[in-house]
Amino acid sequence: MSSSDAKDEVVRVDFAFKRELAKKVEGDLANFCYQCGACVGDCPATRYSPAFNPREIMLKVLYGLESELLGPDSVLWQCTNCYGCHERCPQEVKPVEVIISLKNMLADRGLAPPAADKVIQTFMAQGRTVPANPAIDKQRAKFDLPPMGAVPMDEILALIGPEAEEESGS
Amino acid sequence: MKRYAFFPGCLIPARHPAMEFAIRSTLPKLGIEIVDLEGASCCPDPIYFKSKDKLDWLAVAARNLTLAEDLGLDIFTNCSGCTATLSETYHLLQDEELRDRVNRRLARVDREYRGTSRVRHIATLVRDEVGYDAVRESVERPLEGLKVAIHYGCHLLKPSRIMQVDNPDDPQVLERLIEALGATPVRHANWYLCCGKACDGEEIPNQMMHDLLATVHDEKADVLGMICPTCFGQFDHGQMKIAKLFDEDFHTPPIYYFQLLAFAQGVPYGKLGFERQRFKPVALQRYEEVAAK
Amino acid sequence: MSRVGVFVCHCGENIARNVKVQEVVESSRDIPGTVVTADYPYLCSAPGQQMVIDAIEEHDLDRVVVAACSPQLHEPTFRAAAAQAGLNPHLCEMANIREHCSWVHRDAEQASAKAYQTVVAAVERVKRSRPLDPIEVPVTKRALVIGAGVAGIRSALDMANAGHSVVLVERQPSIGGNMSRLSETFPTLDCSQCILTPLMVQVSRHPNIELLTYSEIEEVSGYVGNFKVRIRRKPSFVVAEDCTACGDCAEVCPQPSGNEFDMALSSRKAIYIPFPQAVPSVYTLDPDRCLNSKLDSPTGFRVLACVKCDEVCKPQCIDFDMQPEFIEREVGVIVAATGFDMKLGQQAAECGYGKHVDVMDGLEFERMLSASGPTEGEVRRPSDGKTPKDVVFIQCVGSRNPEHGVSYCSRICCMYTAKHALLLRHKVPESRAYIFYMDIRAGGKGYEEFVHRAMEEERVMYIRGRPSQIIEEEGKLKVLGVDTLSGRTVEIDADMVVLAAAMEPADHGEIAGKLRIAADTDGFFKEAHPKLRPVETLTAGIFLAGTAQAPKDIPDTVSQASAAASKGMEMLSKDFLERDPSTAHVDESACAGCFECLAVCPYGAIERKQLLDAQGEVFREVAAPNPAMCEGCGLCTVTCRGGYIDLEGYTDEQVFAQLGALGALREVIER
Repeated sequence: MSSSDAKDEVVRVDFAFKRELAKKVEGDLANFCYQCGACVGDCPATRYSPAFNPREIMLKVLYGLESELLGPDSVLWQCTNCYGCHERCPQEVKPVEVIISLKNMLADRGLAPPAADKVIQTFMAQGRTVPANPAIDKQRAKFDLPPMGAVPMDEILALIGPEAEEESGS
Repeated sequence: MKRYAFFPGCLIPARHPAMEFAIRSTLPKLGIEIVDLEGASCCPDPIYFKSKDKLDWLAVAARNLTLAEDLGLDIFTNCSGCTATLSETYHLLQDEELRDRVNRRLARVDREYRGTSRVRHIATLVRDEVGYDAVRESVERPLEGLKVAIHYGCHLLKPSRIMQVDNPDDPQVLERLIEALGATPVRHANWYLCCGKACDGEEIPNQMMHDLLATVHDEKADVLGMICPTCFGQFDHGQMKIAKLFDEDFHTPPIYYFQLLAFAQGVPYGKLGFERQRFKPVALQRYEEVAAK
Repeated sequence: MSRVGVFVCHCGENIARNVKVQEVVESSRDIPGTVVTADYPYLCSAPGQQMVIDAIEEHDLDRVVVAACSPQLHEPTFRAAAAQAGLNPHLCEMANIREHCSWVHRDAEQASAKAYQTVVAAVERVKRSRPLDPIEVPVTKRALVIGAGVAGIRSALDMANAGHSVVLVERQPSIGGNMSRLSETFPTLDCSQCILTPLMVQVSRHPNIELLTYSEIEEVSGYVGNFKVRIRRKPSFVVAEDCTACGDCAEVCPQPSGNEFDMALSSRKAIYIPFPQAVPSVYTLDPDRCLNSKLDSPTGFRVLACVKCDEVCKPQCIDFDMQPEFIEREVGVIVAATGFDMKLGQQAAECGYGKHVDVMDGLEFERMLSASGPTEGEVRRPSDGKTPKDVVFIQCVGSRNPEHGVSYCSRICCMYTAKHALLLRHKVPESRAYIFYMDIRAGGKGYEEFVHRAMEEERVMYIRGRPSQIIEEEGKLKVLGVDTLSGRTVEIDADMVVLAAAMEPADHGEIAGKLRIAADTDGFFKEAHPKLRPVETLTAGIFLAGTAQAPKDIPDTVSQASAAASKGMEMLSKDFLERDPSTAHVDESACAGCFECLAVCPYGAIERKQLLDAQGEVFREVAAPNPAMCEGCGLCTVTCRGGYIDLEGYTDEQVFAQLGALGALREVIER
């Protein structure tokens, strides 16, 4: 995500980006980050992919470096969601939650990976992320389990998506 | 009998019915009455669904919680992912402003989240409401000599302040639950590692799983015990991939704790659906043979 | 009709930036009773004060309102100026247009309007003020110092050297506190014992100091200049006057225990002296460890299971029947110097403290470095006694960690960690020292240079980052961390890990409660004002010294101790003290004697007074606040059902007039 020449440029804080991020649930927590690195030492993703570094991501969030954070094939998707950083952080920054808020921004821009899109599609069709099918119900019957019940989709779909007043802020 | 609302999620009922069967056959023996939640949806998924829009995620999760609130019951989960979503929702919605935002969404379907139903993972439910001793007493064939490596997974323990399950740096609950079956729990060197499932891509999760399985293999464990169906899928299906990719066969069958409990309580090996696993916990069969003699 | 002068301060730009001073001055002219208004850039300066004085004389003012900063800051300044012009100081009132207006409002229009309202309210209030005279109370010429660490010792010696008598109370068997545990001190590497023990001896020999060790404060009553203190001397079961500290008793004592002085890294007997240089040099019998204690009743040993110490004691000073002794002293001032403890919170547990014996805290490592410590100054791993090679030091464990510890910086850890690493390298030259730090806060004389010495001369490896995890692996402690400067993860296979744990106050509200002084959210005693009254408390006559007030190093502790002593002596040098006359007054003719006020008074200032009739018979009991003890908090005035208690300077009439001027209670006033 960070090209080598990007590092030579003068950094300018992008407040518009930070405001957009702050609108996401718990998106504004990075403001408390003092860059101690407690989130990095036992981060499994960092261990296997040094390009993913929660502390550096928080630093880029502090500056609001949109071009380095949000793009196609973002390194953010390498996060294992193990919540170790949430556990370690002395300042309650919850790096994993900030990263998920950034992913929300990626999704807003249509940049979510195919795997994510697939999960969402399945959910919007069935209300489940793992679909039920006749073969499953047959298998369940072997264990004397009833067929999987239907999810009231009208109710679920009504919950999705902001209202007008949410869009405008809050 | 203590009554709890059962939130089975998606993965277990739709992919691993054997696990659901095991839960439904073991809990009543431990004095827990299972109450089904009509109309529950996906928790929803704390990885991709949450990545799309956190507020959508909270709204759907809060709706699931209201189903238990309607019954006046606490809710229990059998999947670490569902536990993460529902526990975090319960925690986040203690914030009044956020609760109001979510309740504005729920008002569209005439529901209101009140925060009256606690969320319990099935392992803590057994630990706190049943107790290790009662588990031990329910065992008909003690699994003496069975070495069970332990995989906690991430979402059961972290973030500990929200999950309130155990100390993430030195957890005990699975070890004690395994001991209650007469088996020997084994903590391998990479016990704290993540299974890698939630990481998008191939390379990182594969390497992660390889390193984890390697230290499990060092301990010469008979099975790898766990409590999360997502991790289970990684270690069963994924282990095949690892074997090919690294040309190393660790051959460590994963096993979901409640299937092991059901077996120890006397459910026959053949009825627990092990035949559908890529790696079958054949080590269990010797206990059946002993019992037959 | 009053003749009020209104003076508005610009406070440089502090007020003028947001409040239109000129407008406030102009409109204040029309407030009824105002005869003169003026403004000045810095009213608190000499010419500013002179302007007020001149105006009082020139315009024959009988009331003054100064619209400036908080009365906390400069009310005394302007009241003194008023007094200089011959006005009673209580006829001068502050209107706070800085903290309440310019600093907190962005909009200049609104800030100016509010400033004007505040001035009107102050004028209405001061018009109803009465001249008040200070209350005089006599002074008991003796000081009490609580805690005999280096802070308490310094305070006690300063006052005693100036000729005042001092009672010095310490709860441990020996004085010396945490400093006596230290090996060497930064940045000069003086031996801690060499600089502290001579002071300890001076204390024990000083004719003006009464030293009460193994004693605790039981109760404090009274008020500034006239405190009454009840002290409980715990039974040591050894007659101190006769004990020669020969140690025969400890030799035969069969009952071992961890030695608290060595952070339990060494052992002592049930009868013990904490360390050889202890003052007083006497043995103490620990009733919790003595074999006889199992047969114990609350009032001493009834049946004796073991009398070995008594058998060998040549001066015959063991007394199993010793009882607690209660000592009462009257003192004029009190210095609270109760010190600190190490706080090992959740983060220390994350680092394996309590699980791996080779993970220790700073004070434990300090004992290990000390020549008189459990290893006689040799660095050894507690697990196997081997000399460690790779030692990892972690700073900010618990400190600056609102999530798992305390939010504040403990201030001394950067320096003592540098010292620990440096001493380790001196003692084990082939060792390697790694320090994980977040910032290096070396703000002190010679401190930065000391850290450089550790880095350059001793090649201590500083790594910027907070480690995440410590895993025990093949007898080593694998520390997983990150160097946030390079962004690379770091793994160190350490033999030993030393945690710079947070400092927390040793008093958990007990002493604070008895002294009726405030503590902040972290439990540190609260000073009256951080800059203007840093060693005083809001309870007159009680002063603060050392780490009980906030984390600090030895130089700052000693400086503060001397400051507290000099503040104490300022009072002890007078025959009478003047107290603020803003105290509660009861309308005796109306008081029904319900004594609800007595129940709520936090200072115990309200007494029962008997009213006698013409025949000399008691016909009624009424509440009578003691003006010497009343701190003017006003709790009684609002508790009194009939409203028969008023606070001088804050009478109902004044406060309602002030509120009425603000519009809030206009109706009430009119009715």
